[in-house]
Amino acid sequence: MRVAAYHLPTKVSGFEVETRSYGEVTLDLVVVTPGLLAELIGHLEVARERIAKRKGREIAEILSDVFTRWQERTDPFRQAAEVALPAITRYSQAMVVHGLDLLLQGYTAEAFDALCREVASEEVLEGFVPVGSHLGRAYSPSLTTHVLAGNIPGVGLPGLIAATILGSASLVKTASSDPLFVALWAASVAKRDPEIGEALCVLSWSGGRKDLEAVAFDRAEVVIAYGNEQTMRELRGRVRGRFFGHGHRLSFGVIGREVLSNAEEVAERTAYDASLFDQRGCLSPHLFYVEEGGEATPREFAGLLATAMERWAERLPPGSPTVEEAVAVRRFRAGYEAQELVGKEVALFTSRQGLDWTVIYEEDQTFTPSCLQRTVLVKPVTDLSEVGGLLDSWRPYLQAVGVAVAPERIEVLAAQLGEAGVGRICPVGRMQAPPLTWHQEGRTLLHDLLRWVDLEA
Amino acid sequence: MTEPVVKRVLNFIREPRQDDFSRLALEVFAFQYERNSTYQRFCDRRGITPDTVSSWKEIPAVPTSAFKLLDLSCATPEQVFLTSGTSQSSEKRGRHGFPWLEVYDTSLLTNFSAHLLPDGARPRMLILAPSPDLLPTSSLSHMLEVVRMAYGSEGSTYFIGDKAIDIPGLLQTLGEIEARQEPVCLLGSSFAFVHVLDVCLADGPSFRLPDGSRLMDTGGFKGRSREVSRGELLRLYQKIFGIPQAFCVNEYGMTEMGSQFYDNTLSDRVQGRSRPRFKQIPPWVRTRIVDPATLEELPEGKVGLLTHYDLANCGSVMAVETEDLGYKIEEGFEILGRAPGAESRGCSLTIEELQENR
Repeated sequence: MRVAAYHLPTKVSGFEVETRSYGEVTLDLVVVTPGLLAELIGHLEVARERIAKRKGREIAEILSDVFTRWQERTDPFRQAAEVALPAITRYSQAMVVHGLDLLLQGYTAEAFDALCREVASEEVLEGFVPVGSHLGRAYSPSLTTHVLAGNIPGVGLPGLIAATILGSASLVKTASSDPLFVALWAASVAKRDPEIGEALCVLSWSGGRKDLEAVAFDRAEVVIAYGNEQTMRELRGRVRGRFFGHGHRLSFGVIGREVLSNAEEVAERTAYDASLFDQRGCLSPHLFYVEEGGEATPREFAGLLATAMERWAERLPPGSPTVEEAVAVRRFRAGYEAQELVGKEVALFTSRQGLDWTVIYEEDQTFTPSCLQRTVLVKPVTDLSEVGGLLDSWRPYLQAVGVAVAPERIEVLAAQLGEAGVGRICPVGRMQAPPLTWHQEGRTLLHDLLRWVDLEA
Repeated sequence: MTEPVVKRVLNFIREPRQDDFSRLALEVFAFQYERNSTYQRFCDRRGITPDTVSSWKEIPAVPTSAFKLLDLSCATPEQVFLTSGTSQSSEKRGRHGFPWLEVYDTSLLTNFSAHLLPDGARPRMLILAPSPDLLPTSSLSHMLEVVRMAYGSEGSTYFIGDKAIDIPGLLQTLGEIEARQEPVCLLGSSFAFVHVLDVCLADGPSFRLPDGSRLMDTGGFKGRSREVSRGELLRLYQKIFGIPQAFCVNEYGMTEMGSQFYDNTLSDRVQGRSRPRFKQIPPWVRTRIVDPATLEELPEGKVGLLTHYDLANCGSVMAVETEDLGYKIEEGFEILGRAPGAESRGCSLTIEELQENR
C-alpha cells in the first residue's frame, strides 16, 4: 500500500516527494524546504481569512461529521489508517483498530457542542462587546503551528480542532514516528469541506531543523508543541508568539479498600488502562497505590492484575518493542527479581510470553515510574490519604489519576490529589479516554488560544 | 584447589578439546546450582534444574544488572571485583567474587597471549590504566598487572598515578623507545588513549614506534573523554604512534565475566590469515546473540543482546546475560556497545529522563 503522508493547500505550485517504506506500506512524504514552507504559509493566511468569517459552531458541526464518517470501518481514510498504522507505529493491528474506535468515540456532536460553549459567546469574535467596565473583542490566531508527537494516534488533534473552530489556519509538523494519521485526518476534512481544507497543512520533517522551524514559527501567533522536556525548553526559546508546550507527563492510579470486594473486576479495568497503547501515552498509568484492609491484600491485587494483563495481551496484543525498549524492560525486571531473590518484599509477575507485560508488587511506597511496555507497579498504602504526600517530588510531571473508590470518598480524595498537583481524576478503565474539553496541563482548549483586545472609550 | 570440576575447567582452558565444552558446561551448571542458593532460586523460578537441562544453551543466564544485588559466589571469594559504575555515583556497583583466582588468571593469560603475543613477543608494556595499588577492586587493573608480571619485559610500567595520566612521562618514554628500536605494547582504556591522542594532536608530537609494537585498548568512553569511533581511533593510533591497524587489538571484557574477548587481527596476521575484524571467542566460552524480546538466537548479522557462557566463571554463574549489543560475524561477534536506556517516546516519560531532570 502506498499513501500520502501529507496534506497541502491545493494552490501550492510545486514540490518534491520522497518515499519511506515500512514493510508493505510506503509513505509519500514532501521534501520540505524553507521556500516551500514560506509559500505554504502564504496560502494558509489567505485561506484563513475565509474560514475566520465562518461561525465556529458551523465548523464544529463539519468536523463532528468528519469523525462520524471515520467511525465507519468502510471509510477510505479509516481503512488507510488501519492498514498503515500497525506498520508505522509498531502497534498490533488489534490495538490500532481498538485505539481508533476509542479515539473517535470521544468526538461526538455533544463533545463538540461542549467545546464550543467554552467561549461564552461568538459575538466576542465578531466585534467589540461589553467586558466588565470596558469593551473587548477576541481574535483567533491567524496561524497556529503544531509540533506533534507520534506515540498515540490522535495526540495533538484537540489543539488542531480548537484552532480550526476558531478560524485559525494550522501548519502541522507531524512526528517521524507517525507522519500519517493527522495527514489522513486533514485530507478527510478537506474532502468534506474544501475551504477548511485550504487552511490546513500537514507535513513532516526531522526535529531540530532550525531553518524550517524558523519559518514555521516566524508567522505563527501560537505554537502548540508535544515532546520531551528538553525539546520543550529548546522550542520555547525560539518561538516569538505564544507557546503551549506539552512536555512529558505521567499518570497513576489509586484503589480504595472498599472496592477490593470486587477486586477481579477492578483489576480488569486497571489492566486495560495499563495495556492500552502499550503504555506509550501520558495518560498511561505507571503504578497503582492499593489500600490495605480490603478483601484482597495489595499483593493479592497485584496477582489479579497480572492475570488481567495476560488476558488483555491476548485481546489487544502488544506491538514489537525496539531493542532499547526491550532492554529497558529486561533491566527493570532483573532489578526487581534480584530484590525478590534477596528476600525484599517484592513480587514479580511476568507474561507467559517474552516481554508482553510485567506486574511488580513492591512494599516500598516510593513513587516509581515504570519502564513502560505494559509494566505496572502495585504498592500498598494503609490509607489513601497518604498518597498525596508520596507525589511531592513528581509534582511538575503528574497528569491523570485513575481512581477506584466508593462514591462517598471521591470528593475528599480528589481534593487531596488536586492539591498534590494532578490534572485529571477519572474512574479506572477510562484513563485513556479523556473528554474533548479536559484541561490538559490545566488549560482550556479554545479559550486559551484567543487574543483579547480591550477598547476603553 | 579441591573441587574436581574446577580442576577440569582449568585443564580445559589449558588444553581445550572442542567436544568437551558442552559436557563440562553442564557439570559446571550442576555445581553452581548446588553450591549457590541464590542462583538455585533463580533457576527454580524458571523451572530449570540440572536434571532438565540437556544443552548448555538452556542454562539460565543471570543479567549483569543482578550482580548489583545478588551474591553469586559458589565459595568464599579470593578476590572481589567491582564494576566501575556509571557517571551517576549513587548507582549501586556490581560485585563479582572469584573463589579461585587461578582460573581467572589462567583464562586471562592464555587468551591474552594468543591475541596480543601470538608471535611469542615479550615487549615492554606501557600501561594507561591505574595499577591495582590504586584500584584494588578493578578487574582491568588486576588483569593488566597479571599480564605485566607474566609477559612484560623490563621497564613495563603504569602511566596513571593518582587518577591522572602522566602524559609528559609517557611521551618522553615513547620518544626514547622510538630511538632505541625496541617494540612496545601499549595497554589501557580507550578514553585514556583519547586523552593522549588529543594532547598529541594539539601539541604536534607523533611517533614511529618500532616494528612489532602493538596496542590493546578496552572499554567505552562513559563521558570521560570525547566519543571517538573505532575507525577514527585506529586511524589515530596509526597516525600518532605509527602502529599499523592490525596490531591494534580491542579487548571487550566485563567485571561479571572471568574471560575476555580480543580482536582477531594480530593473531590472524601472524598466522597469515586475512579476515574482517571481529571478537574471537575463546574455546572455553560460548556467546549467543539473542533477540532482546524473545531471547531467541538471531541469525548472522542481526543485532541483538550478547549472552555469554564462560567456564572461567565456574566460581559464580557461568551464564551471563549482558546489556551489550552486537552481531555475529565470522567465528565470533562484533560489539556495538551498551544498549542505551529506552528512548522516550511521545508524551510519556521514561525513568532515566525524569531522573536527569530532577
